[in-house]
Amino acid sequence: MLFTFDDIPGTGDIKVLNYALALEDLESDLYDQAFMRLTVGGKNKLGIQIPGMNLNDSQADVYYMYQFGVVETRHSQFLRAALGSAAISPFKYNFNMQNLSRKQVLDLIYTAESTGTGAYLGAIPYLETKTYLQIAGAIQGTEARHTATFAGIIDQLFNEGLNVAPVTKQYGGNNGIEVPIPPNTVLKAVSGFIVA
Amino acid sequence: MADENSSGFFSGQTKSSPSLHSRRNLMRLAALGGISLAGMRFFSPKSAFAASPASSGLTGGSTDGATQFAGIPGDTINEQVLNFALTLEILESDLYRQALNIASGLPVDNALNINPKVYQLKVGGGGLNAASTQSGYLYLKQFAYVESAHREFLIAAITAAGFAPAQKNPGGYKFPTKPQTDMKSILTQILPLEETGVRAYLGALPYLTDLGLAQVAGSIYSTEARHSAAVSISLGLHAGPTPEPGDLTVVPNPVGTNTFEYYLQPRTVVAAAVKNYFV
Repeated sequence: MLFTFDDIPGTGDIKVLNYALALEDLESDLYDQAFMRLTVGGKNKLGIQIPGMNLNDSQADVYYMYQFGVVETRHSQFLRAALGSAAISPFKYNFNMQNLSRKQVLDLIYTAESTGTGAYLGAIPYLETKTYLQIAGAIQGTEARHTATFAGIIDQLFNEGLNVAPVTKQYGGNNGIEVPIPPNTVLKAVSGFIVA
Repeated sequence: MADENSSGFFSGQTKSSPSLHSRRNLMRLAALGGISLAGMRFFSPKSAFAASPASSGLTGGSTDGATQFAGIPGDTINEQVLNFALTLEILESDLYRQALNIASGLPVDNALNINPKVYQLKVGGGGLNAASTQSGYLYLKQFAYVESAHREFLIAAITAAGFAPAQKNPGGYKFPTKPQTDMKSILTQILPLEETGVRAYLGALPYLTDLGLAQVAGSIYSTEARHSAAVSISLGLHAGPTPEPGDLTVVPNPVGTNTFEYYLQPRTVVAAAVKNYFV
């Protein structure tokens, strides 16, 4: 079970990459399950049957769920390959997906992407080499795009008034700058979804 | 505004200054960014980072910084990267101001009003549907203030370090093609600014040797990526990243066009900015 940054294997760049991999694994599986829930249903890796809502990809949420799910899977594959034998073992995740409404599914994705966006920034102080800084950046930017995309989709569907990006004081924010989230804060938030 | 630089584009005067690479100045920088010091293990031994110690600095990376940031003021590479970012934020914030004025039916030279409520959409969609026209205009307003805040943040940070921030281009800035008075045309002109901003920050990132600055730069970069996605979607385009001519890839064999962000070399960005946007 994964609870703190101490539990992430490795040190320095390896630790950060494993941390990233754990988050990408979670996002990838979340998108798999969310896509099942909104479309034709299916069984998650725990064997739990998820009934589908029979929406299709003419809906923006379904379309981007599939698109970004592929991206997160590729991030995961890339990191796992880069780490080789040092890679953290994959987990299984229970999001209670079978019981979530469409809005709850989207809120969960938004929260996961938003957390992932801040998580990469929060991990920067642990990096050692510029090469991995730039690689982490190349992934992080896509997480930021995903976050903005789902904020916009939720606004369109449910009129939530979510901001697509950090705002300034004129709109109740600070300096319009993304806020890094420390690893242990991130891991505490996601640990509840990890079951094995 | 006088331009003291022989290049005619970047007029920040260099003067002897303490390095930004000091704990005190980084703490100021973090505070300015609203970034929790507890989140920056680099400064705080009692930080929220409870695990193994953070590394003390970044190693490796490109060694051609002197070439990449030629003409950008700064005594150290970290300072040059910050002034590179500032140069782009000055440009971006000015063009956002112009775009917001155009979309609001106001004189293009009007300063950014401190009150966003004075701005009301006065142009049509130009082919965008009503929802995208409205969301696009909201983004234009919000991001105009954000880019302005990024500019002020960087100026304050550079100044706090006792260094001279890069200055506005004396002639000002223009869009390569003047936007028509509709949201589609305006956002179409805005999008390349954001997409280039993303590529510029990612290209400059591996020149920083300082973890605290890397985190700050990353935190601004992240917002540019969010803006790029939001503006793209308003225009009916994919959220991206979508490859563009000249794009460089961080990962040698990208397995999908939208799997990793693309980047540009800093000198390429500067040359393009000057060519396309400087008056």
